Amino acid sequence: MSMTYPTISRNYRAAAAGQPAPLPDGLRCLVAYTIDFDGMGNEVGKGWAPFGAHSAGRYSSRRGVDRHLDMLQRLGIPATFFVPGYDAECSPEVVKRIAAHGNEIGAHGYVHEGTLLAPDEETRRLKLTHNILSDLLGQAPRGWRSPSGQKTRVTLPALHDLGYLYDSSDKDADSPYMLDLGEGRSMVEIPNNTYSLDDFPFFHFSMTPVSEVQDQWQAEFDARYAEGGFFMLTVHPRAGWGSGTPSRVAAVENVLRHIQKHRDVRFASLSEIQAWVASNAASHDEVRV
Amino acid sequence: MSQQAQLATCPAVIGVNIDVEILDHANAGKAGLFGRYSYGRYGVREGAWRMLELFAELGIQATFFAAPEDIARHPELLKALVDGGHEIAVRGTVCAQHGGDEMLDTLARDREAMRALVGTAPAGWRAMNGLVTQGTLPALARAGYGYDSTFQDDDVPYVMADKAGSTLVELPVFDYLTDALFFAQRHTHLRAAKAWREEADAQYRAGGYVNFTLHTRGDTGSGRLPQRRLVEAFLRELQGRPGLKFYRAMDLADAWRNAHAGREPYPFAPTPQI
Repeated sequence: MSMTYPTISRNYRAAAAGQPAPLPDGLRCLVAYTIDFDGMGNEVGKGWAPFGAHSAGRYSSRRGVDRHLDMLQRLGIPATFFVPGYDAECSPEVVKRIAAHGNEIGAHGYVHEGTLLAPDEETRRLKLTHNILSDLLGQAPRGWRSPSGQKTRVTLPALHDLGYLYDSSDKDADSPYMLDLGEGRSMVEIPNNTYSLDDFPFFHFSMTPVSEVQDQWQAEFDARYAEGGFFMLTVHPRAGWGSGTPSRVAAVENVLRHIQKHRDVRFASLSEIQAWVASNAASHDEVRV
Repeated sequence: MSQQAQLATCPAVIGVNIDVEILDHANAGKAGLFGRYSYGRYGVREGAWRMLELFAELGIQATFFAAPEDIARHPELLKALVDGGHEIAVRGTVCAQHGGDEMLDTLARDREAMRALVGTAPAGWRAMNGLVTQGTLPALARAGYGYDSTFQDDDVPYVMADKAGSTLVELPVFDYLTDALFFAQRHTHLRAAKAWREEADAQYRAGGYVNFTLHTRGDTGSGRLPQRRLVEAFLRELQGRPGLKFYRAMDLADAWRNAHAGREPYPFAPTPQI
């Protein structure tokens, strides 16, 4: 199979011709807070028993999700949760509670697949999780985030066929942009940055003290606010390398309260952001895949 | 006074993992327990004794998790642990690697071996390699254990039971309340202690409990003098917190079981559609 090179078909920064669309309503910063459920499915997908030292995924449904829902209610902000299908099967009531609190739910693999699958199997699993979440919530997910950041040439067309409007997996820009899938098909990409604006690397690879991670995320926001634009933070409600526990949620809450102190900032769900980008598609960058 | 009122507002446990020879032996192979494979031996020459002195100074009784083979090779350490009023629990293995064969028969065998050495049967178990299978917790209860302390899935202990009524308490651990994970990554001692302090503070404020995991080894453990000083400072801070009380793990498991009527099923992970 030949290598696929996505084409940057519109890039306002490189072209130095015109400006990308300003944020809606005169905002200085548009902020998304996203939470990847990542329960037992992460371990099960690796063929591990999700118990003992590998039981941190159980924390999501036992404690972490509800602690986040309480925090979101205190702060009065929406979040977008990405849920693997297997985790929804294991903890349906917890997943329904996320939606009942007014949060958006997107799909996040079946068992958090971090490896390449054969095209037929990849498509089957995308449909499987799509059906699990749709049946459970009575509403089809509109967004998808790749587990481990992995996608293939099959992924986006299959998601488009299922009715998805956006993907939130790529790492190639600071702002959301259009995806041209060919044959008149398009989606919105809402990129994230796992290295700097995600809890996993800090609490897994470097085991950084929580207060230092909080400082890092606040500095990230301060830099973004100084220039203006889009800011997205991603956490996981697990124990271990996630952010479901008291120390981590306290740090996240401090970061979010820090953001809320700034003027002209709005928290939005990823569907709201998708709608804003798609409504003015030509004013945003575009990548052809 | 109700049973629940007798529990401290913030229970705390110190679980010390002793890996004298058993761990290094598995890694050394034909090289033998020399050179870098002697870090475990440091624990029984220096580390454990330094910890015992510290716990005696602070008036804390801890829980030491060890393989029966290590305890059998070091009777002087066994005597010191017993004389100090500390608990001796089993550090065992039910599965050598992910997806490997389940060896549940080791649970009863280790319990009997430890009973023969100590004189009383151990109440607790912790997986040496962290691997726990779906069948392990019910098997622990059947073998007569009262608690496991390997999971990392809650802020407080919880009690499980099956239809037959056998119960087991889980005393969850916390990665940021552990020494070895930080020292294995070569974090400075001060940075590890900073993480412990922040984690314990959050647990205390949130109504959780503290389960502090230490090792006696000379590489990733806390038995060396500088780490011992940091551990002492941290433990003295904890002792100064109103409502925080140290328990041996088996005492907390008993108190928790008596104070909480709720029982939940043993952990279960359904077969995925893959």
